[in-house]
Amino acid sequence: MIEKPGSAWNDDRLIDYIRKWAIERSKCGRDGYAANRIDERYIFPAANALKRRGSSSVSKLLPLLHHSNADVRLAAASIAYEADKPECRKVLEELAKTLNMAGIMALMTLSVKEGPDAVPNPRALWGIKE
Amino acid sequence: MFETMRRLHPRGAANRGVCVDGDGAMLGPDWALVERAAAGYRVAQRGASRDVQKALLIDRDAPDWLFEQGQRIADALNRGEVALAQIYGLRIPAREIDGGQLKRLASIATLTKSGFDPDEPRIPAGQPRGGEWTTGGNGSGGSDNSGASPDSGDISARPSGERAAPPATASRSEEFAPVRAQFFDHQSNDGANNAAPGRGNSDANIVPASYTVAPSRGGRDASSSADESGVAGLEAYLIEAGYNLTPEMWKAVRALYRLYVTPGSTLSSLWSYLAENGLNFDELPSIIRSLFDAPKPLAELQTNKPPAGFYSEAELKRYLGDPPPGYEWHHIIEQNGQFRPDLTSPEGIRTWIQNTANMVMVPVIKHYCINGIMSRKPNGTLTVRTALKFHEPAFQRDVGFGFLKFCGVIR
Repeated sequence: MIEKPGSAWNDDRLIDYIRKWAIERSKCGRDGYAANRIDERYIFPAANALKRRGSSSVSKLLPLLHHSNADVRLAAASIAYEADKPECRKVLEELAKTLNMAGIMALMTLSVKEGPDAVPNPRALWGIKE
Repeated sequence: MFETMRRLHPRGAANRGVCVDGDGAMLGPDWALVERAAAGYRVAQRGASRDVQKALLIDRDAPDWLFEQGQRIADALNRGEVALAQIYGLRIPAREIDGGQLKRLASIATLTKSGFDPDEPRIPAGQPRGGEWTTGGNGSGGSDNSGASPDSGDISARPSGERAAPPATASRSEEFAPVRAQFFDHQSNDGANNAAPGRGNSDANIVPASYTVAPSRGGRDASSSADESGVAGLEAYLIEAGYNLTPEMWKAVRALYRLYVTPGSTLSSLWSYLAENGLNFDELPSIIRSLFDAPKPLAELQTNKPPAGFYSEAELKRYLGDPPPGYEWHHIIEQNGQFRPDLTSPEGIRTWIQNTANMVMVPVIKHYCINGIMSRKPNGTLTVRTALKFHEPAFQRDVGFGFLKFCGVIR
């Protein structure tokens, strides 16, 4: 039985839950469907619960920007983007340099957050040649 | 007067009525009355249409009224008359579909996608293979597809033996339910729309439809390993595309897919699986063999024919011809749902989308993997597929190359 985030959970518990599921997500590799399932069942509900509590709760995710796991950094930067844009943007730009699932999602998160004009060129990032 | 006025709804999860657009006709978010396929627009199965007509309490004397209305819509769309198709759509009396009806539609959609046709007779219980559907294999039994033929435009019309089998039991159809939601998320891509008869599936391992229900995985619950969602969706994807495999090959597909998606996996891990399980590569169906193809230069996966652009997918596909067995044509820049003028104008379509330069042959399982990436949601709402459409064509193309590279299609 997997516990689900609820109102009884404090911020730290929600953040730990996001961290744990982001690590699970990193094991999905190329399987976008499995990663989506983790997002939709676990990470997004916890992120929404944090966001409903306000910016001070969301800011508690910022230390995860330095986590050793790329998917944890991605989750933290995506959810807490508005809490510290420069720092989160830096993390996403760094992640986007690697052509893997976290890198692709970092690039697309920047696109969604900042608009199409503010996104690094994938050709240069990923060494795309025709 | 206003009480009887109807309107069309936009396609998507919030759809609570009838949607008719360039991709076909939807009733609610899940059930497609008309779908676009490589060969044109096709109406849903007659039996499923009848069930939906009942579920929506459409009060018509003719039980096949909805099916016939779907045919009118498909015919109009095939002629390029979208407005007329929408008028036909407005005549379907489904103003606000309620929750119970939505569930029923989703359930019918699930069964339809897994090949289920409620009109199809089954072998009586007590006889050998009792309970199995009569279609497929040697074609004995002659399923009553109510006159459906490959030319009729009926989705159910597939050559004998190529048709995917239905769920064997009620529990199997329940098992498909969560998969279906994901399947719809990527239904608009060209891979899903390619689900047409004769698509590179003439392998020795294709078997009578009675064997095509993917064997049980011994119970799957919501908290079990996360990769199950990708595996189960792959099964639905392959069944939808008409790839009917033996139980042994289903097992191999699942195992090899898991190995392929695993971070850091290499081709050698796939070869090891074959060796450990005594499988002969040359005897595998083409959809499995193509997974073993090493990344190639892009040029090797594009047509040798002179570069050319077209105004429609059908023209382009005619020009390209069929891809090799185990491969599918993939649009590097997504063809459906673009909204930028540089990609929706006739010239934009010809230059960027329905163009030989935008087409690459991708192994079927890797194609499914690309669709999975496209269905991810960076902010919880927009999919990657949709977010990309805000970008200029060159950016979309470059990201598309990134997907191909990441999935091991090109190097």
